[in-house]
Formats: sequence, C-alpha cells, structure tokens
Amino acid sequence: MKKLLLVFMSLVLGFTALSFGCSSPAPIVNVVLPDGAPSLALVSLFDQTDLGGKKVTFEIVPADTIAQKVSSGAADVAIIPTNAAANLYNKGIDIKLAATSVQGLLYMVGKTAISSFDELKGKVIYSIGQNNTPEFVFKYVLTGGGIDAADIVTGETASDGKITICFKSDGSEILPLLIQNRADYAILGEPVATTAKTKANLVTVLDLQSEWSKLNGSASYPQACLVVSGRLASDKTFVNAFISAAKQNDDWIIDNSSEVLAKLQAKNSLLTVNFTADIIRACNIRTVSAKDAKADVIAYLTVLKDYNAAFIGGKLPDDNFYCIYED
Amino acid sequence: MRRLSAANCPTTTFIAYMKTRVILSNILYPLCTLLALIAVWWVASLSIGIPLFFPTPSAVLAELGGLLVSDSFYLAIGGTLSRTIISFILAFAIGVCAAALAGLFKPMHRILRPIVVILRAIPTMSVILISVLWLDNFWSPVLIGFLIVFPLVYTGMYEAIGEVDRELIEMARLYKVSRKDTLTKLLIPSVTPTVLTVAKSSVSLNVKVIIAAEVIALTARSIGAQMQLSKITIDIPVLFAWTVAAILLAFLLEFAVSLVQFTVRRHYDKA
Repeated sequence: MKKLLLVFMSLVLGFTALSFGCSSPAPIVNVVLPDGAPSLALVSLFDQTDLGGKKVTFEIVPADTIAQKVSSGAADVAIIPTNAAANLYNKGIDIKLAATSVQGLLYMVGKTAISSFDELKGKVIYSIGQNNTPEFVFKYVLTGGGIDAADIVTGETASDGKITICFKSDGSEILPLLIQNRADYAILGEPVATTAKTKANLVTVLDLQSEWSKLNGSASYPQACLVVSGRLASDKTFVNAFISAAKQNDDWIIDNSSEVLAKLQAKNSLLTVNFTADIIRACNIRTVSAKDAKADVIAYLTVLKDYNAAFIGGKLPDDNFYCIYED
Repeated sequence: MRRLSAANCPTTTFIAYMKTRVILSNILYPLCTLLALIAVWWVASLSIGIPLFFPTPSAVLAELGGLLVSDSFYLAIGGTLSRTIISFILAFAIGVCAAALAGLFKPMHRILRPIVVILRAIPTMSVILISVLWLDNFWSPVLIGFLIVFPLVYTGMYEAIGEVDRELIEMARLYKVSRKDTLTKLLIPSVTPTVLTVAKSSVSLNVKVIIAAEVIALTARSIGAQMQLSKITIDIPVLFAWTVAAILLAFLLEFAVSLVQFTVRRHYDKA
C-alpha cells in the first residue's frame, strides 16, 4: 500500500513537472504587470490586441509573483522593480531593460512639516520596505542631508539623538497607527500616502524623489522598469512601438484618471483607490527609453548596491542589460 | 514463518533479533520515504528547469552549508527558538492548569469551552494580521504560538482527565487513600502520557505558526525575517535552505519532547 502510494505520488509529481517543463512559448506576447501603482504604466494599452505587428495580451498578477513570471518565461514583457530586473539578469535570466516606467513614488507623510532632518531625531518613523527600496532610498536621503549613518537605527521605540525607523510589511499596517495618532511620521508609497494624508489629516513632509535628485543629479530614481525577453528584444519594430504606446499612456492616465480604476479591476487588480489626477501625478509614471534612462538606472543601482549588493544580484549589470538599438 | 524460526532460537538471540528488527524498521522505513521524497524533488526540479525558483536538493544543501557558517543563522535560529520556547511553556502551563481546574470543577469547563472553541476555529492569518497592529514584533509571534498551542493542550489534558478510570478513583476514596496519593500515584501518571503526546505534536506546529507570524511582523533576528529577506533578494535556494533549517528545528524540538516522554515512562515503569 505504502509503495503503491509512493509510486503514484512520484508519477503525479513527475507529470506535473513535465507539463511545466515542456510548455512552448506562446505566439502571443504576454505582458505581465504587478498589482499596484506600477500597473498604471500600461493601463491605456489594455484594450489593444495588436501592437507593432504582434498580438498582445495583458495580465495583472500579485506583485510577489512577478519575478517568477519573468524568470519562467510566462511573461514576454513585464513591469518589474528595477532592482529585481538587474538581479534576475545577473542570475542569468535572458531579459533586457527596454524602458523605465515608475520614477519613484515614495513620500514621508506626517503631522507637521520639518525644516531640517535634525528635527526627526528622537522620533520614530514608520516605514514600509525593509531591506528594500524604501529603506535604502530613505537612508540615502538622510545621510546625504547630513545625518550620520550611526544615528539611524531600526527599532520600535524612540531614542534620544537618533532617528528610529520602525518597519512594517505593508502600508495598511501603518495607516491605523497614523489615524490613532500613535505614529508621527511614515514613509509610504502612493496611492497609500494620499489615503493616509486624507484619513489622518497629514501633510507631505518629504518628497523622496526631489530629495534624491537634489543629491544625485539624476532626475529621480527609476523604481520600476519595463523588461522584455531577450528573444523579443531583437524585434526593434515591436519594442519601439510598445515604448511609444507606453509613452502616450503617461498623459492618458492623468487626463482620464476616472477610467483608470475600472480598467485595472477588469484585469483582476485588487486596488480600490479612486485614482484622481493628483494621485496619478504623485505616482510619477513616466516612460523613458533605455537609451535615455541608462545613466539614471546606473546611478540608482549603484546606491542600492552599496546598501545590499544581493538586492541587485551582486553587481551592476553589464551593457547588454540595456535594450538600446544602434541606428 | 519468521516467528517460528525465531522461537527456536535461544531467548537472548531472539530479543537481539527483535531489537535489530525494530530499530531497522524504525530507521529504514522513514529513511526510504525521505530518500523517495528527495528523489521526487530532484526529478521535479530538473524537469521544470528553473533552478532560480525550484532549486535541486544539492543546491539547497550547499546554501544550507553556507548558512551554517554565518552568524546571522545562529541569531535567527536562537531568536525563533526563544520565542517558540516562551510561547510553548506559557501555553503548556496555562493549558494544563486550566484543564486541571476544569476537570475538577465542571462549571469551569463550561466557562472555558467557548473560548477554546473560538481559538480553535479562528484563522491563524487573521490573528497574525491583527496582532502585528497591536504588539511589537517580538511578542506578536509569541502570542500566535500561544493561541495555537493552548487549545490543543487544554483539550488533550481535559480529555485525559475524563478518561481516568472513575471506578479507580471511587475505590481510592473507599479505601481512604490520601488525596495526595490519589493525585501523585493515580491521576498524574494516568494523564501524563496523553499530555506529552499532545505536547510532542503541538511543538512543531508552534514553530510553524511562529515563523509565519515572524514573516508578517518582520521580527528582528528570526527565521521568518530571513525567509522574507531571501525572497526580496530573489535567492530562492536560500529560502529553501531556511525551510529545511526550520524543519530540522521542529524535528529537534519534537525529539526533545520524546526524550522527556522516554524518561517519564521509565520513571513510572520503575515505580
């Protein structure tokens, strides 16, 4: 009986494995987007079925699964955090960065504005994204603004002379703390930052994007990008057509903000935010082709690498990572 | 057949034979299952062919080796272990005491029963999500572990008390056996095996839910946070290695309870 069960189990597993392994690449270009604000980057394209001479379909998946979709080849085109794109590329996945899409959407919100970073000492700042872009960008901005790295600590309680960051796994865990006045400051991403400002009557204390450009010289940090599979990257017509369609989307979502949510939900997004033009502007959705964005990407990845090299796959990706066509 | 031939042998050889047989089957069968599982894993991993997301056992073993020589590994294991032990001891002590009270005074059981039923039914994830809003990232996993283990220990202990032979208790009273002797010589020895069996099965469950809570609460120095980190850096083989480490931790804790079980049994056999 035991043996029979074992044989049965290995057969079942073996077949599942085989059926995964043998799936041939679909002739249709599958565009995959992570649920959340970055999916705004292609909203107006959702109804299109043909683009640059190819059939396309769009799919929104849970943000956690996007890296797996890209690596397994289930996605031919995807919006993905730029660090994850570099990481996968460095791990040998055949993808290229075709454009950057989200130029940073992180903000510090709080009860009162500050005139210098020193005012944050002795305070607890709640934040999303431990070991992730929010932590690294915020620390970069603080140290760039003259705060000693040793004075930035992680913890739950305030200590004199130090800026304490208390990390939570999700913005929805920080929102109640702000509403109950148990938190003074928080680092949040859009659209949660705007929700927090409205519900807890807060102001924007810092725009991490403009703080970044003050320090770094680059316009902003490209938080998420558009990647294409190596196979597709050789199709210049398609990639260029896709990028120009994405560029038109940048203005479309601001002009047609009231239509955005319905379009996202039609693709099974779990977002429920009533996007206004202001929220969408704060999301900094801007498509910049690899050629124009390369310097900004390198500047961003360099900062991330200094905090945790493993976050971008150990090293800066080489030139082949960027999908740039020689004319 | 075998029994017959064994019966012809001198007694000592027979005992030795039976012992080896028991040891062999106790080790051999589980080992076979384990090897079969690893083989299936290996085949599945190779045929899916995305080592980044479904690594082979050897890749995971290599990562585990890497973890074993890093300081953060022992900090994380120590942190998770301490939370497991705290929550387990609290749940065990309170569970046993509450069930003992309930066994002696029936109304107590009627008061506690709804709480236990609710605790058993409540979705673990919702408690985790709620508790991270109120507790800090050390105590939130401890609370989760407690809430999972307490109803198991309470129910196990309460039922064990109910199963103690009523006639024996009656007899002890008739023959005027002292209350102390009834407790130490009759009641405690009868419930201990059941309670220890419950303890053994709930200790690994405890590790499991505590790690789940650590992932959500981002607990510093924890297996859960390390798993979360390996997901962020897309080091899935490391995530697998942490998973193996968590299984080994749960296994070791179960083994520790088995040792207690063994000592207790020997103690009672002697008495």
